[in-house]
Amino acid sequence: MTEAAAQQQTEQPLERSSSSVGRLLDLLIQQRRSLAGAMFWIGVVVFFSFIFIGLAAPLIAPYNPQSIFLTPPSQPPTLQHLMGTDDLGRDIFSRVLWGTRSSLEIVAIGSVLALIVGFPVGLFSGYVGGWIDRGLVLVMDSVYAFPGLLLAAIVALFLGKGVFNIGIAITVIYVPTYFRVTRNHTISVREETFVEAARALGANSMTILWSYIAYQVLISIPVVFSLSAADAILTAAGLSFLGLGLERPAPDWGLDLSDAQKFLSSGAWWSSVFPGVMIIIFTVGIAFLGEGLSDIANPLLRKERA
Amino acid sequence: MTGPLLRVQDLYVHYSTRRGYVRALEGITLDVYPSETLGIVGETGCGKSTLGKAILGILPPRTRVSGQILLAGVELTKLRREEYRMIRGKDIALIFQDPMTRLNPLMTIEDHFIEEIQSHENVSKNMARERAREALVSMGIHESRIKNYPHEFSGGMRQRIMIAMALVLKPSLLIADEPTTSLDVIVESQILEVFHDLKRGYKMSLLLITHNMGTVAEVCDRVAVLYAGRLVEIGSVKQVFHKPLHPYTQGLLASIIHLETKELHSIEGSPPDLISPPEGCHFHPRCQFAQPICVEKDPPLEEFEPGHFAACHFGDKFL
Repeated sequence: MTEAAAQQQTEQPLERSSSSVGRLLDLLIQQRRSLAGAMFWIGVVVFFSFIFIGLAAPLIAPYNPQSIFLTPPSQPPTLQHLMGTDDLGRDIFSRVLWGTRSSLEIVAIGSVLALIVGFPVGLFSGYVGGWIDRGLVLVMDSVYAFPGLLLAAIVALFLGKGVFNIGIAITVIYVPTYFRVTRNHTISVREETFVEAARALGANSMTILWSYIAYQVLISIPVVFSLSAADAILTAAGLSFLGLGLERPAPDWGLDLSDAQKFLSSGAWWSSVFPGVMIIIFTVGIAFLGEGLSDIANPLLRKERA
Repeated sequence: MTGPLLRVQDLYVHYSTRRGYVRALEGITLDVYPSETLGIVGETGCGKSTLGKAILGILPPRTRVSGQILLAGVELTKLRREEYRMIRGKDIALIFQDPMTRLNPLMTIEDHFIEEIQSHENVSKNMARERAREALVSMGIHESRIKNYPHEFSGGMRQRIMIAMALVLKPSLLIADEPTTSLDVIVESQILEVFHDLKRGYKMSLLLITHNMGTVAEVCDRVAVLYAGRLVEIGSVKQVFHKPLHPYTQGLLASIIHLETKELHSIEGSPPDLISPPEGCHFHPRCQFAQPICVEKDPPLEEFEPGHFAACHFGDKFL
């Protein structure tokens, strides 16, 4: 009995998939009951539900988010209007669902552009070193030193409103984050002895940069991506709240929050609470995803928590 | 082929540091002949590894290098970057001392080989894979393990993989930088056996960097002794072991542990600071035979018997 159990244990590793993605997936499933694993899977569920909501908004929203109902405005939640109506008599539930879509678009544009710019520049800067590196670090650090929302507001002010422009404004804030992480990690990997060994066997710079350094550095990107995406939702909402984001009457969480706050004192809590809750759930969900992923994928952290 | 395969002439390497230039190599001149094994011995920090890296041109940036390195008559230091890169791995290969960290942990063994072969030769992936398989098998590693990652191998296996990678392109010169230092005695003897076979089979020249005099006696034809960045003695293994002319070589040989060793002999003191090395002969502060002339004058490398050179003012006294 014990022998069979022991044998089973030794054979287990052989059954695991051999590709690295497969191994990570096995690990994530294995760890689903640990704190980090639970965080990751909750994050996954939240993230994909929001993507679903964003994509399916036209199908699942009961009303047009911009149509005004002729019943008295600011109705509390009823069966007809699940989240009530706002001060203009629009259905908040529909607006919240449609708002997911614009948030997703902004975050996707912002985070992906920041990644596309920040990662290669960081890789280059760290690999080349010298005065080019110092110059780039100086530029990136001065951008980083600005408060994020303020910088985004300035950029948005210049570019104007609209989903794409807000995406660009958010890109500007997060490029230094990607740059820093990539550049620092590149410098530490660059000094690894296997990089020197590859050089000794005649690997060219592009091979070294790509298959010896970039692959290693890529590990730290998903975490930065999810954390900055979570932050980007807040920034996007903040910009809209300040009136620099989307144009009224587009459905947008930040914009709706900003319109609703005047009516909080008159007891119309539903028009601020629901967009606010959406922002919180989405932000926390993405942050969970990133934290959980980094805790599980990083063997050092995994041991620490165990 | 009577001329040397590798000729290093007047090689100076100075590393740039915050405190100043570290004179890692000062005027090294030596030849390696075809299918010869030359041992390079010396203490830690005497410039052995620097010599290996200088020959391959993989010293860190901002290092001052002067002198000539000729491989089969081609001046390596004057080559353009891309030409130099093509020589690395193809004509000269280097094996490092720490096999545990020299393989990319994210690449399988197969990927390592394919990348190396394809960066030098225009061959298909399948051809490269086939050659990788052959090279691994010749080093005694089963071909079924070609898709494994480095962490799935032991230290000795990884060193054999490194050797297989170094040999797969059939270089004419192999530089082994303390290839057995981090391995246990049994694996060490296996690796040394591999070097023996290489000499017989491949007709390859080997530059064996080590601090183990026993390894030198076993594997090498000639031996060069480095001290504080200078060549202090060079000659055939027989000459150097039987008639060491430089007091430093004598000290090194005396500190070998035998079965009868009761008390461990060691050379007093430690190697000098290479940023500001001592005047005259670098070894004089530790030399028991030191005379006033040793402080004043730097002894040149002189031939005391055919093929046996030493840099000591009193070399003839030890003959």
